Amino acid sequence: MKYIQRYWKIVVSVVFAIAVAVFWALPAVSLLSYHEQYQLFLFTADYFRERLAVPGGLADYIAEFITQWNYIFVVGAMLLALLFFVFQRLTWRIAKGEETADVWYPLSFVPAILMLAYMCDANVMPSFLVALVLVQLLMLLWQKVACGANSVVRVAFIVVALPLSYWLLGPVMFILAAYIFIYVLANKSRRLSPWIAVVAAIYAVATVLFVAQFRPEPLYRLFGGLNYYRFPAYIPWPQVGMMVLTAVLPFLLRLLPAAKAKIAIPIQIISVVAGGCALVFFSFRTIANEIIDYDYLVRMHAWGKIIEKAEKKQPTTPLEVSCVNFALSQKGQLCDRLFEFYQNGGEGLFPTFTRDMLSPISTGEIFYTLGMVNDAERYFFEAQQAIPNFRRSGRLCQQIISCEIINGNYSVARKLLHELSHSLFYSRWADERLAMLGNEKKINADPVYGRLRKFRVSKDYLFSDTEMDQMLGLVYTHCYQNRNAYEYLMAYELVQRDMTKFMEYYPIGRFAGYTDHIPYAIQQALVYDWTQRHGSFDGMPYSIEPQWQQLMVQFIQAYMSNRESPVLSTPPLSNTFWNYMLINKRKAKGTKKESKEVY
Amino acid sequence: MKKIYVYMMAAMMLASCTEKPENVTKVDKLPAIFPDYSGVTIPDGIAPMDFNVTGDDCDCVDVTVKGSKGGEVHSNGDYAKFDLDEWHSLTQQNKGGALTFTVCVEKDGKWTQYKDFTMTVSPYAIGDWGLTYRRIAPGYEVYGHMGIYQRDLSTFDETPIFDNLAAPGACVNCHTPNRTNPDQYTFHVRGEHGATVVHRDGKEELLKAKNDSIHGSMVYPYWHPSGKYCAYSTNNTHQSFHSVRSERIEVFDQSSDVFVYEPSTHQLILDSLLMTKDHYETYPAFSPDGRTLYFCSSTAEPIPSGYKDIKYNICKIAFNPDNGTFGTRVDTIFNARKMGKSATHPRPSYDGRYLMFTMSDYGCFPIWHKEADNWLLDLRTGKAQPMTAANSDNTDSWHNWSTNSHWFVFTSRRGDGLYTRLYIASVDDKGNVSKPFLLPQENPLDYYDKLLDSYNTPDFTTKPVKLDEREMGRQINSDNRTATKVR
Repeated sequence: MKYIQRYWKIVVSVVFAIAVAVFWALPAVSLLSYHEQYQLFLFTADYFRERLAVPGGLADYIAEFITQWNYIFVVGAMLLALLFFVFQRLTWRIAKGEETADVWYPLSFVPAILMLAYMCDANVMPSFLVALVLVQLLMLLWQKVACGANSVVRVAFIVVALPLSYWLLGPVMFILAAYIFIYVLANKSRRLSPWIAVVAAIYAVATVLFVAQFRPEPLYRLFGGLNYYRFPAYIPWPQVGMMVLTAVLPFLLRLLPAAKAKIAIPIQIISVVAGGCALVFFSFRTIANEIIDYDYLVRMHAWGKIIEKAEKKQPTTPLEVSCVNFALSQKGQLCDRLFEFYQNGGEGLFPTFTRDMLSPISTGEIFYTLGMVNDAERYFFEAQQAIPNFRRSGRLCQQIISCEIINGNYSVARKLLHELSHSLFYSRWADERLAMLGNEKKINADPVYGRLRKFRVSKDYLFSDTEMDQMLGLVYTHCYQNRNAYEYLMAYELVQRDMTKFMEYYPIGRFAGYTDHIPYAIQQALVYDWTQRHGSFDGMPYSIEPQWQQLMVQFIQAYMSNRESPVLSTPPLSNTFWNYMLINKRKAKGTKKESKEVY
Repeated sequence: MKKIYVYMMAAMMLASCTEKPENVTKVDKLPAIFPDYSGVTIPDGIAPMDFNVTGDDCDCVDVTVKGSKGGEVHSNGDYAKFDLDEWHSLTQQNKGGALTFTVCVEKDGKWTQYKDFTMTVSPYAIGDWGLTYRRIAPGYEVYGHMGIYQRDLSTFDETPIFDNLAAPGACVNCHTPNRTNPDQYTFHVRGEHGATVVHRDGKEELLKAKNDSIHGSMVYPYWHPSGKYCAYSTNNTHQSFHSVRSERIEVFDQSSDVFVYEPSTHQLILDSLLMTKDHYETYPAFSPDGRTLYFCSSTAEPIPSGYKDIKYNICKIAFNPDNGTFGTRVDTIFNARKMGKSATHPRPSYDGRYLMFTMSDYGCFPIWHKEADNWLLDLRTGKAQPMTAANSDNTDSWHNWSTNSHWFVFTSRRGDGLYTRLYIASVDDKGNVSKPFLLPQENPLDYYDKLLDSYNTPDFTTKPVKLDEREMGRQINSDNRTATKVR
């Protein structure tokens, strides 16, 4: 019992940290990957200087150092959990310094839980959490200075700590300033001059205005933080809320009256756990995070898991659908199982290019696998350029370099590999590639590079969003071993409901080396085409399995008797090309333009 | 404790490279250096021409530079790094002469002395303070961190003129001063808060990016020498992407015209001869006397099928600066189409003698064309020839003249085939073009290896450009724009 009374607080904190680690390592692992793939921490003096050259740079540097460990997701999750643990413990230490009763310990978890919920937005940078933790250390230091030191030391602390914390940690400096301000006013018994409060507040604002003389960023960004949120033009309100809470909570907690531990603690724990879980659950379950999860699975080449995920919940956005189709193609099932999943026309195979950092990645991966190396490189490059805080990406760098190597642009590859070789987790890969450069035999023998070099077309054409089939046709006819290109071509015509072109391209599939069976969706389309012109299956020149003929008959009967028949909307009939063609007639949106205006 | 310091000092001395060449073995070949500065012509007062020895890793590089007219500088270290003041004195002392570089390299304790190489110090000063240019990653449609920068040519100092940190999401391009004088300049802002910025009389004015009368944005600019006018093209520009490995982007216009803007009245001066439907007119440039407007013109071809048939000639039309009117006929002064080629980006030298342009196989955007080379047209004889000494096997394009017309800066992809770098070369009184030199940097191998930007649209500037970045960012974000009207 004594042990419980003595250690219950730290035990609860450790349990919280473990829960946070489990959260990041399991359901939110894709967010760890997301953070990791939009930065490239380099062990160079230039990188350190570059970070330290902007307000908040030290927090960025530390956060990026930590984030690189997300490459090994378990370690990344543990490091992040450690940060949350320290954040909660410091929250308590500061509150304790304000003479908060132990009975209110569970409430010290509130900021950490809110932060966890806030960080379910994948664009909240870990840099903000690091900055919060570091500024809390300064708040603790202020408590010591305010209690034990003379007024000269207190003033010296303010004079040094505020600008230094602004430069190193960013606008969390205002938390410190606000804390000092309230502390002075709330602790009159300590005989602190109220002028200290006023001077601290004015000095904090003056610090930012002074720094503004040397920095080009708009003032609102200098006040709101340059890298607390990935999108620089946006300062989210929850961030402001977190800053206010961190500064004010210690004083709110000390206002709470004494209470009976046996009642108050369980009630608090239950409330904080229940409220926290609900908050995190709803903050985490967003469409954006679903898409991030698909991207993560593509990154991991977890094709089976993508298909499993889609089987549980049908994807709807073009990016999700394209990931599922990509996974099917990697499993050799694209034209077998295409219509078991929701399809939205050509968009679901090749989503329209958008100027964001996420969607072009998986589309780039599709082009890459198909041997459309230049197009893949473009998508990877654009995704990297779209990273709103101008960071580099290890994942995208690797892909760009691979494209350059396949294309034989060794000088460019070497330059980019030099950069990558200064990272922790990509350096080995970079060194291996550096040793490869110029060695045609070795590159051609590489299972991926060699294959893609064979797939790559030699006759030039201009990329056109609206003529994907023509491009796929050129790619496939350049190398018949590229069966994926054929399947994408067939799938494209089917999801576009273009039977004329489907029948035009179908015969070139004879070179694709199908020995087992003609893919099911293709069989369905062939039967469909035949029945459009014939009254029976007699004389049909294709190797159609009897099951499809029987199903076609069932489909026709059901369709002719009642188009709303539930039979049509349940498997197996719902998972057929006929259903997609005749029942689910949502036309593919014609959003793609011939070419985009540049100026 | 003292011992520790002694050991540390000794270790530091051993680690750094300060040994003098001894027992040197001479070899009869030039040292492999980056950048290739052997045989280049430089102006006096240029920043130190530091270089690295490439190839096998070396332990120490010792370089002695002797001037044909006297003077000497010495460097000993990891790479050739010259003291700024000593270098400047040496080049000034040897103006019109030559510098001889003796390079010794130490590897595994053995010194090798390579064949000397020389650098000519031109009798012509460069005359300008520095360069302006845009730096941006060589991408496709999306842009990240970028900006317009200026570089002091006598040092390595680079400062931003406008960095898009000041206006998140903005893209800036085509910074163009009036004959290298930054008292008047213009540049464009693209993106959500698009504008054309015109700086004159110490103030910036942000014009509406588009005007319905010209069916597009103001694009490629060129100031009239009087500063009263600025010619622009308006282009309906599109881009496509090549599939084969050696090509990347194809930029083409689906329509383009040329017009003149009068900043004092905000009027656009249009002329039917410069806005034809069956031709694309682009890249305007005034002659130094301001009485002629050069521009490029191609027949309009179906896009995208006929994009390889778009081939520009260089044309001219008379311009009367007194009342801002054009002549009544257009003359072709260089018929590139006849040669099966396309001539773009004409830039007359400020002394009126030459017109430099870029020649490529087709199209208006040679920057992505490997075959693109710069050519020089002698306006007195009408003869044009490629600037062989300055051109390379890769893209050479986007050039501009120094104020005294003896130097030109241009971009080239000759380094690695992708990242454009700035090269400077000279033209003497007889029209001889020198071997160009890469813009000097301190520890250039390291600098250029780490630099992930391309240089775009370089130009000389007589003095530093002054622009309040934050104020400009505020104006860009404010969306207050001055409308233009057709005269």
